[in-house]
This record gives sequence, C-alpha cells and structure tokens, in this order.
Amino acid sequence: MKTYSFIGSDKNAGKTTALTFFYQQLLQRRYAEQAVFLTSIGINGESVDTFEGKDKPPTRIFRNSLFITAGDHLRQLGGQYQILHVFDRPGFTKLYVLARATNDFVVVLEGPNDRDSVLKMKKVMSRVAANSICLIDGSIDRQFLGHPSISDALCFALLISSRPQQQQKAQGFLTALGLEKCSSKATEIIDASTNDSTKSVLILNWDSTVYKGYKIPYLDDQLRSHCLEHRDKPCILYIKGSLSRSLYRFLAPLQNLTIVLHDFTCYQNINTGNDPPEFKPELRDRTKITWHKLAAKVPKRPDILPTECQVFFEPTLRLRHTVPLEYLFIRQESDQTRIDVPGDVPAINLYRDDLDDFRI
Amino acid sequence: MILEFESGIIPEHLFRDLGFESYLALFKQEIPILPRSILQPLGEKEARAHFKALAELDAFAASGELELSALLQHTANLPNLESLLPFLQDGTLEAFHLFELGRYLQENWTIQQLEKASPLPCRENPCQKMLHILSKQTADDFSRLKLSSAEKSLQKSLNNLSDQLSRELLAYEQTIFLKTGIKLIYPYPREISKDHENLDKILQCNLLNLIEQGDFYRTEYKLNAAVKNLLREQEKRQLDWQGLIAEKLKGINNTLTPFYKDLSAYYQLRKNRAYQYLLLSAKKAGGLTLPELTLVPRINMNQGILPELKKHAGIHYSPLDLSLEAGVNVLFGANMTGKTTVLKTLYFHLILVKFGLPVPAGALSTMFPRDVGLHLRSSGKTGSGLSGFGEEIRFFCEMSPSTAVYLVDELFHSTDPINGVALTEAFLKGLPAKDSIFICTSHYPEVLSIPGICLFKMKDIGEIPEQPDLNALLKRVPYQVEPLSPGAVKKQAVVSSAPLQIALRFPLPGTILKNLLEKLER
Repeated sequence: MKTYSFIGSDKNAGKTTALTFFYQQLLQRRYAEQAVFLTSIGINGESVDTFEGKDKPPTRIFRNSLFITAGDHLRQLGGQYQILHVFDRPGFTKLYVLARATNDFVVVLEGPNDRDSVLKMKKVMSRVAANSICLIDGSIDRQFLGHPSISDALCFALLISSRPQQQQKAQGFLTALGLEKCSSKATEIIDASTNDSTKSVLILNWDSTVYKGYKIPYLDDQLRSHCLEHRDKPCILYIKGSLSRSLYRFLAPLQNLTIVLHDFTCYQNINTGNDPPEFKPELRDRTKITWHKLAAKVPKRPDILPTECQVFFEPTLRLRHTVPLEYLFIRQESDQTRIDVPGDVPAINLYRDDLDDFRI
Repeated sequence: MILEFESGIIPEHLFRDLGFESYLALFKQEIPILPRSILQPLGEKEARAHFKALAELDAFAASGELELSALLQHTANLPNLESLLPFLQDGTLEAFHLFELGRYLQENWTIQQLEKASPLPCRENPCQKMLHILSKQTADDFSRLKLSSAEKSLQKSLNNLSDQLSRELLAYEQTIFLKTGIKLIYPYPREISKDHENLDKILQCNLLNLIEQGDFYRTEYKLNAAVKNLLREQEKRQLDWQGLIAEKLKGINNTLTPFYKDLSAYYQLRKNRAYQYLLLSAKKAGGLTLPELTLVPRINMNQGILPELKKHAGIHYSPLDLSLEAGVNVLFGANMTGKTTVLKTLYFHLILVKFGLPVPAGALSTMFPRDVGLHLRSSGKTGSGLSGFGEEIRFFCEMSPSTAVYLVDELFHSTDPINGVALTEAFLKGLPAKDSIFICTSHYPEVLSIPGICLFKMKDIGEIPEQPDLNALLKRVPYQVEPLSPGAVKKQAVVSSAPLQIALRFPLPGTILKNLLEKLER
C-alpha cells in the first residue's frame, strides 16, 4: 500500500480539492485496477471555503472505493457501503468504520488523529488490500505525517497570496519539505543515543554525546549553553521538537553545526514579519534544495528576493526522517507574488493549468 | 488488559520494591472487552465467592473440560460493546453497529461451545435469538444489510443514474472544450487570465459563467438541462433510498431493542468470565496458585515466592515455608538471614489475596485479611515530617482491631535499646490476638521471655569460610524459617555471633576489623 498524505500551507490552500482531484484521477487513469482508500486525519475541514465564502467541493466516494470515517458521518448512508472493519474502543477514542462503497455518495471523512491509531488503521488496510493506494487528508500540524511509517509521499497544497507573512510561511514549509535526509552515519549515531523521551542530543566530533535533552528544545537553556560551549568543534544537534524562530536565530551563527531535525514538521522557522529588517537569516546554498523559479507562472517581485538578505543561517540542516514531496498543488491568490518551489516536484495549479496534463 | 491496583492501598515504596508491577505484567493481554481494570480490595464474602468460582473453573481446566488458551483467544476477539449498548437501548443502531453486534454474537457462540462444562450463570441468554435476527437481516458476515428486491432495484437504478451522470458530465466537458478550447473537469473552477487567447469564445459559451476576480475571470458551471435533470433525479432517488433504509433499520431496531437488558446483563457476565479466564491463564503461565481461604485465623504458606527477589537471586533462591497462628509471632535471626524477606514475601502474597489474585506459591491457605500492613525499618519520611520512631508509632495507631495481618520489621529498633525493649514488651503483650496475626522481627533478647507468643528463628547462614567471596556469601542467605522451642530460646540469644562473623567478611577499615576480632575472641 502506498500512502499519500495531503497537507496544505494554509486553511483553504486547496488541500481537500487536491485530494479529491487526485482521487478522481486515480480512478480514471492507470491506477484504476488498484484499490483506493480515503481517509482523513481528524475531520476533513469545513464545508464552506472561508476565503471564497463558497461551498467546498464535497468528498464524493465512488463505488468500490474504500474509506475510513467516523460512524457519526455514516448516518443516512446505510445500505450504501459494506463494512470491512470497525475500529472502536479501547484502541480508538471513537468509532471509525472501514468500508467499501457500494454506491456513489458524498461523505465527511474523519479518521483518527494520532500516530498509533493511524498505524493500527494502516495495518488493517494493508490486510484488506495490500495492492492499494491510500489518500490521507492530513494537516501540517500533525507531526507524525512526516514519518515514513505513516506516509510514503506528501502532496502539498500551496497558497500563494499577496500577504508577505503568508508568503514567508509558505516558503518556510517548502524549505522544510525540501531538506535532505541526514547521512547514514548521523542516523546511526542519533538512533544509538535517543529513546522515545529524548528531545535533543548534541554529539561532538561525530562520536561523543555531550548533552541529552528531555525538555522542549526551544525552552532548554542547557542545550543552548552546550551548543555555545562547543561552537568551535564539529557537532551534530538532533532536535525532536520545533526549531522555533528563536532557536533558529540563536543557532544561526554556528558554522560547525549540523542540525538534524526529527522530521520536516520540526522546522518552524516561519517568519512572522515581526523580525527586525536587518535580521533575516536565510539558509545557505549548501542546505538548500535546488530551487525552480516559479517565474514562468508568476512575475518576480524584486523586493522579496533572498539576495537582499545579508545574514545567513550557518548550520547545515538535515532531517532524520524524510518523506518525499511528490506533488505540489498551487492555489494562486495573487499574480504579483514570486515564490520558489523545488525544481524536481511536479507542480500543478488546479485552477489554471490544463488538468489533462496531470500525470500520476 | 491493563491491571492496576487502586491507589493508596499499597505504599509506593513497597509497590516498587516488591515488584508488584512485574507481577501485574503477567496479565497484560489485549482483550477489547476488558481494556483496563483498577483492582479494588475485595470484601471477605466477595473474595470467598471469587476464589471459589476460580477454583471450580480451574478444576474444569485441569480435567480438560475447559480449554483455557482457546477460550481466552476467542474472548480476545470479542468486540467491545460499551459504546454500542446505548444505541441498542435507544433503538438507533446503524449498519456498522449491526456488524459489531454480529461479530460479538458469532464469537460468543464459539465461546459458548467451548465452555459447555461451565456456562455463564445468566438468567436469560438473548445471544442466540439476536444472532438469528442479525443473520436474517444482514449478509456477508453482517457486513451489509440484506436488501429486498425493491431495495435492490432502487440501488441498481441509483448506480445506473451515477453512470449516466458521469457520461453526461463527460459530454458536457467535451462540449465546453469544443466551444472554448479549454479543458475543464467538473466541478473544478478555472481561473482565466484576461489576456487568454480564447477569452471571447469562453465569454460567449452558454455553458459557463465568468466572474471577474481582480486580474482574472473565474469560471462557474452552467449545467445543461440533461445534467440538471439527472442531478435532480439522483437527489430524489437518494431520498427514496434513505427513506427505505431508515425504515429497514427501524424495523431491525424494533426487533433488537427488547433484548437490551438481557444483553447488557449477559455482557457484564461475559466480562467477568473473561477476567476469570485471564486470571487462570496467567496462573498457568506464571506458575501461580489459587489461595485457599480458611475460616480460622491462620496462614500456611508452602514454597512462597517473592518473584522480584527470585529474579535477582536465581538458583540460590529459597522459597518460603511458614505456618502462623493467630496472635503474636516473633522472628529471630542473625543479620543477612532473610527475616525482612520473609515479611515482604508474606505481605506480597496477602495483598494479592486481598485483591483476588493468584499467588506465586506452591500452596497458600490463609485467613482472609481485612487489612494487611507492613512496616519496614525507616529513618523517617521528610514528606510526613515524622521520624522513624514516629512512623512506627503511627503504623500501630492505624491498625484495625480484627481479622488483619500486620508485619513489622525490627520492632522498636527506631529508638534506644532500653526504651525499645520496654516499648516492645508493652506492645507485644497488648496486641489483639484472637483473630489477627501479628508478626515482627526483633533482636531484643528480653522479648524471648514474654509469655504467649510464638517464636521463630531464621536458619543461620552456616559455617562461614575464612576467605569467602562476598557475593557468594550474600547468595548463601538461607531464607528459611524454623520454629524456636522454649528450651532453645536462651541459647539462641547468647550464642549467636553470626553478625560479627559476617561483618568481618566485609572490606571494612583495619581498626574496625581488629576490634571485631577481639570481641569474637572474648
């Protein structure tokens, strides 16, 4: 089973629209012979688009598709599905139904909201149909979606607006999604020095653990002092928690540091626009992914080009767990905004591009 | 199942030290109908009935009439009905509830076949009747509702309509493409730039509306009559379908709701029985035994084990054999002979009895202890603000007067020897004796002459070699209790120099060792 998790940069970035479009394409195109599962992390959004003020396209389940949703959403739909499994107490906080649609119908999708439940759910889904594709309507704040045990691929719905704060946030997410996996040696060292409760580890010269933190990293003062103490030596800093704006700024000058984030959701360097203009630490090129300019799609705005930034983020950033970004769905609210997207990821604007060109 | 003790019954330090957590892990097994249980101390009547029922089931298991592992395996397959039962009561079961209920009843039927030797003691078993109703109303192992021919026909027409709608929408998209040159997929809107090459054609297309939005136009679909009609028809038939299914579910609910009370009662019995199977299964797997509750205040322990200690001592571990009568019992013995371990082992077993659990012993026949208390030597607790002596006095203040077992390590060694002896004598003479058991350890020789108390001694560590390995010495602790006859009492008090001999084997400073040797020679 291959699992695609759909996440969005913002509310109304078009995540659910992207998912339903992707689902229809799967059914119509070459994957028609594979079973398709649909579910959601938590409830799949509001029925009204808060940006447009219009009804959102509902999730229409087509005959023979498999889906998981909370039992509450299946009232009025009796007789239109065949139940394959029920997830209930004690393992689940509420009752979820795995079923096969016997008719086409519209349903609200709602799946479990925690990692363990999703893993249990996936186990049953694989048993029901091993050769299948699972589409999860996710949420960027659910950290576990960034783990390969949950997601095999990510589909990112990106809103491009004229609001600078939103642009920086979107760019931050794209940066996080494009970070590379750490080396196998770093993986080995980190795995050997951490357990479930470890929040941070500072490893000196690739072999000696000088600090293990169990506090939230950005609140851990001891972690900061150890980083400063060893600033002249090559160090790996593993963080299982958010690399917040303040921690990002604190670590920015440390040239010998390789920061390994647990997964992309830990990268929280989302510029709020409140930083002083002289301090906009940009990632150096060695950390950056290969950017593909969206210039062909949107005109450049010279005032937000990264070349303007004089301060660099010196550490190298890597991820412990990576999930490949496979598709980018763009919703462009403003034509005047320029944003960089990873060059090797297919990007489609569902609202502007020829949808026939889309390939899975 | 996750078992826990009600908090506040076992002091935290004893819970950790005596390994209650490892013991409870024996019962850890995924059983959806028994997710978690907080064990509460049983009353005497309840405990007697509980152990009697367990013993009966155990006898069936021993004779092969009940297959515990199979029963537990099927019990683990039973779905939890806690959230379903209120819907049964209200008559609002949905199709997925019927699936869960069906699975429960089917699995329960299998269990019933396996427990014919000892069926659940229910007044009315509704399972068979309910299973019959569900089999009639659902298909494919309860996974879908069984449809009448009218319902099937409507379902078929709904699906035909969906197919027809898909074809019409495809044709509609094709027409838009032919008229405008843009490829749209319903229901996704398209943003068209104001300099689009086909803008005129798009603006003129009667199948689309263009809404101006800043730098672009946004398309809205103007569906043709054929599509609109099909959508209307689909909506209508969908409503018809919902009506039919709602009626169907109502009918099913009407036949099932009357069984609510009986099923609830049966479910409770099933949960109790599942717990019994779990206890007996863990008993078998962990080499435990069911205690026998006596009517007289007495404890007879045979081969009692403190699992945590056994784990550390390995092959050197000696299980405990001990008989205690009502009244005051005093245990003598040199250091490192295991007196405290005897108290801990007894406490561990009696606590398990109080909570209705099997014990790690060859056999245990015991009074039912209304209360069990263990006081270990302590230098006081910062939290309580009491000294070691204060803690000990408080322990006595909190004792219940009857049918209890209290265990105290090194009685009144928390104060100076002169007052310690006086206090010991006063307490031992004044403790209630009729239906309770009190056991303490003591070094005070004066205690030996108190009339009416039972005396025991720990078996000595034996001959200590000149150059023994300290670890080997520690492993030689015998942990064996022997009754002490009145004639041997005086000898025991005077002769034993084992503590000095043992101390000599430790790597103490030279001057101390010299002093110890001198004492021994004297």
